[in-house]
Order: sequence, then structure tokens, then C-alpha cells
Amino acid sequence: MAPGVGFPGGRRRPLRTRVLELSNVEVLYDDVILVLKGLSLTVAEGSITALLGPNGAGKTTTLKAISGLLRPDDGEVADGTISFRGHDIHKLDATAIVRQGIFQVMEGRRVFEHLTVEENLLVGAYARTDRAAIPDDTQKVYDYFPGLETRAKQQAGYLSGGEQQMLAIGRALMARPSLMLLDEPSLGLAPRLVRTIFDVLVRINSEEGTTMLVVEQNARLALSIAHHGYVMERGRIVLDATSKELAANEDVKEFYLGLTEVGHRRSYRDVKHYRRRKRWLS
Amino acid sequence: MEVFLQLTVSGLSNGMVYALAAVGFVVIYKASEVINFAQGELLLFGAYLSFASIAQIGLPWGVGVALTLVLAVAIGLAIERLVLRPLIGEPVISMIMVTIGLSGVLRATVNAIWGPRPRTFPQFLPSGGVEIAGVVLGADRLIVIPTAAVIFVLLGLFFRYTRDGIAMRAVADDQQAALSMGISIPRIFAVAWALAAVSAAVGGMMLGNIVGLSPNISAIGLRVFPVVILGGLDSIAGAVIGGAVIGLLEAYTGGYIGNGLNLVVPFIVLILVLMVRPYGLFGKPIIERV
Ligand SMILES: Nc1ncnc2c1ncn2[C@@H]1O[C@H](COP(=O)(O)OP(=O)(O)OP(=O)(O)O)[C@@H](O)[C@H]1O
Ligand SMILES: [Mg+2]
Repeated sequence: MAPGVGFPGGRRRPLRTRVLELSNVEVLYDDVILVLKGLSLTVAEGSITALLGPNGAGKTTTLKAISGLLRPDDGEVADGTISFRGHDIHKLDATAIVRQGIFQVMEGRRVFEHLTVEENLLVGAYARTDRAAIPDDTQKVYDYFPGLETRAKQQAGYLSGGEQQMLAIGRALMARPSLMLLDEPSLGLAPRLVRTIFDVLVRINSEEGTTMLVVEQNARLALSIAHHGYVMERGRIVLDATSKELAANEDVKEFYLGLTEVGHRRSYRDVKHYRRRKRWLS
Repeated sequence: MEVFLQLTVSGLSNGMVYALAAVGFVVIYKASEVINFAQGELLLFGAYLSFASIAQIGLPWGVGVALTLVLAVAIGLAIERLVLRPLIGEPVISMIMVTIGLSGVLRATVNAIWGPRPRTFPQFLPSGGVEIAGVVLGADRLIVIPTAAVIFVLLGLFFRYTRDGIAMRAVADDQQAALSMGISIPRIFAVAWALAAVSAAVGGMMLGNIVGLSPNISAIGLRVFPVVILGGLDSIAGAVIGGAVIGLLEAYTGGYIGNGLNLVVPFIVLILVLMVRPYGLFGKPIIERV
């Protein structure tokens, strides 16, 4: 994996318009479990924004709140607003949100195992109205992920984990979203594969102009491609800065990048400096 | 040889009617994991609708059949909209219970409109005999087999090539992921019920031709269970082959061993098959990557 943290050279550009804005969002599961406790964040047009945080912080919940996928989990946005390009979307259902141009790549890939690679891609384009463009876009996905083309007719369940993740991202591309939400795309993959996938994400971001909100446990990786980052804990944002600043931040280094121990990326769980963690919350 | 051929045609044609009822069952199960206990009643309703439009209203049989199919679609959509959609998000078991209630309502409706007595079905399939290899076989039964085959091929094409067909398979694989693609789950359930009602109506019309019409034909619904368990609850090809196997087994045991046993033997075979293949002959195993 690339050792340094920073931007791939010269990729920055003015990022002013806010595409997505969450303000004081509260999410309840089962009407009683308060998981997001007034979360606010914004995502700038054309940016890659990273959302970091430990297990159970509420990262997946945040993405599902945006994409309308809380309902099957018995969750709801109980308070606050989520607006996308100036329109409130927190009352819309998932189908309507996909049609607005927001597409979530769910945690754990979730490919349709008994469908072929090609059929998975077709399903990704389900909500599109310009169906004539589908063959071209399928080819585009194969250009981004050449490994998928040779397996087009195979059932997705038999792909390797890395190929399934590529398929999940390719399937999202088929919807031509303007905002892509990615939930732990590196989960369970070998470092080399992760690098390949993140490189493609950067290409998609700059070539297709797709804005991305990326949730990651692997903070170093996420900050290496992101322009901006948020750190959340227990349902709230505790840090918010450019990814360069975050990468340089002592707390982030210590808890998420594990830079204090040579040669090992330590998980936040191993770090005992509880006082510092608390400081973020106060 | 003569007996064998006659039993084969009789068993296969019955089996195709079972299969027509069973594919609808499988489609609903795949889309929503709902076990539809009203499948036999959908078939019953289809048979009586064609009776009403051909014998009672007096429409030419082609028009009557078409009208029956259109009404079947409407009934399937209405059932989904009025009975099942309010339960989306509730445990699947409540939807299953509701289909039991639905079967009672449909049967009572048929009884109320058309009465409990058998009716003379307006046979539209040719009723004479056809001589094949020196054996005379019922033309109506012979026609049932390719007719059902056409329905199965159309269904297969639907699931393989159409947007909603592929989406239905996606929903069957992972409902929440399908939702994240912008697929409307209620729409998929509605399509499933419409397909189930139509294939059952075709089955009902075939059955009316080959055995006649009475409220008792909804008992076919009970045959659906050995058929789909044998074929695999979630396999359409399995439902077709399961239908053929059960139909043939019934005919052969009835013909060669004796009436009475024909209802038992299919279940014995079923148990033997399940011991070897717990998902049924064609059930979808969980994919395990190596
Ligand atoms: N369906 C649910 N019902 C009740 N509580 C839930 C549900 N889903 C998540 N939670 C709770 O909400 C909190 C946040 O969960 P979430 O999955 O959003 O965290 P996360 O940051 O994505 O964690 P991870 O890094 O493990 O994926 C957790 O405490 C979790 O137990
Ligand atoms: Mg998560």
C-alpha cells in the first residue's frame, strides 16, 4: 500500500457548491434507539469526502439515512434535514432517491449472487430512463474493471471478493449517479486489490465527475484519495477538516493511522489514550 | 403399451396443470418468501371466469380466454394491492396467514356466484381422440401439454430478458440490495401476483377442459406442495419437472398398482428425493465460493 498520505498530484479543484447537506440529523431505530444524535455534514460538488470513525459510530446509518435505506432496518430520520441539490430528501423513499441521482454501494458488496455479472450491471441501470445508453455504459464499466468483462456470463456469487467489490462499484456506475455513497469498499480485501479499487474510484471521480462520500475504517487509505474528511463517534461529527489536515492531526494519526508504532497500523481499539478521545467530544 | 401411453398422456397433462399452479406459487415465493395457500383458488377462479365469459355471457372462446387472462391479471394486482401491500414490512408469516384467509374468501366467492354444483365447462379444446402409434389418446389432454410448455417458455424468457424479470430475480437474491438499485419492491410483488394469477387461470381452463368444472378443483392447490417441494421451492424449472413427475407417478401407480395408492406414492418418492437433495431437485443451493 502507498505509504504516504496526501493527494494524488494536482487533482484539487475548486469545490464550492454543496451537493449534499445534512443538518442536525437524528436517526432512531425501532422508535427508541437513538443512533445519530444531531449529525451535520456537507459534501461539496465533485469532491471525494471521507467519513471515518470506529465500529458502531453510525457511519453506515448515516449513509442509509441519505439513501433512504433505513426503512427495511426499522430506522427513520426522526429529526433534522437532509438536502440534496437544494431539495429535502429525507422524506423520500429509496426508489425516489435513486432517481434523484444518489446511489449507495452497500457494505459487504451485496452483489446478486445468482445473477450473472452482466445482469447485475443491468439491474444497476434499473431506475434509468435513457435505456439506449446502457450498452455503452456497460462497456465503460468493463473498461474501468477489465477483469469483469471476461466473467460477464458467470454468476456473480462465484466471483472473488475483490471482483464482487468491483462489480458492486460497476453496478453503481450503471446508474450514472451524481453522488455515490460507498460503505467500506476496502472491507475484507487484500491491500493490493484495495489500491486498485481506490485508484479506479479516483478515476471515476475525475472522469465522470461523480461526487463521492466514502465511509472507511481504513483512514489512511480514505484520506489518501479524499479532499475532505469527517470523523464521527457515537452518532456525532467530532472532527471536520481537509484530508491533509486530518492526516496531519495528532489524534487522527494516533487513533486511526497508527503512525506511532513503526510498521504496524494499529486499530483504534488498541490505543488506550482514552482522555484524548474524550477531548474530541467535549 | 397402449395402457402405458394412455397413462403417460393422462399423467403428463395432469402434471402440467399442477405445474401451472406451481410456477405461480414459486414466483410469489421467490419474490417475497410468501407461501401462497390460495394458489388452488386462483386456479378455481380462473376456470369459473372462463366459464362465465364463454358459457354464460356467450363470448367466442378465444375472446373468453383472453378476457379471463386480463381479469386474472387484474385480480392478481388487486390481491397484492389490497391484501398484501398493507403488510409489507410485517413478518412474512402474517402475509402467509393472510393467503390462507384469501383462499377461503375466493372459494366462498365462487360458491356464492356460481353455486356448489358441478357445471358443464364450455370445452374449447378439441374433445375427440387422436390415434398415435395405434393408440387412441384424448386430443384435449394432448393439447394441454404444449400449451403449458408455451406458458413456461414465456415465463422463462420474461425472467431472463426483461427488465422487470431480471429485477424480480434480483429481489429474490437480496431484497435490500435490490431496493438500493431503485427497484420498487411493491411493484415486483404486484408483478409476481399477476403472473401467478395468470398461470393459475391457464391451469384452471385446462383443467376445466379435461376434468370438468366444480368448486372441488381447488383441491389442486394441495398437489402444489409436493410438486414445489420436489422441484425446489424457488425453481421454476423445478416446478415444471416436479409437476410432470408427480402427475406421471400418480397415473402409473393408479393404473398399474391400484387406485388409492396413487395419492400416497408421490409423497413417498418426495421423501426419498429430499433425503438425497434437501433443497429439492432444482432448489437453489447457497453459493459457497472456494
Ligand atoms: N437495525 C438496527 N437496529 C438497531 N440498532 C442498530 C441497527 N443498525 C445499527 N444499529 C446500531 O447503530 C449503531 C451504529 O451502527 P452503524 O452500522 O451505523 O455503525 P458503523 O459506524 O457503520 O459501524 P461499522 O464500522 O461496524 O460498520 C450501532 O450501535 C448499532 O448497534
Ligand atoms: Mg458500517
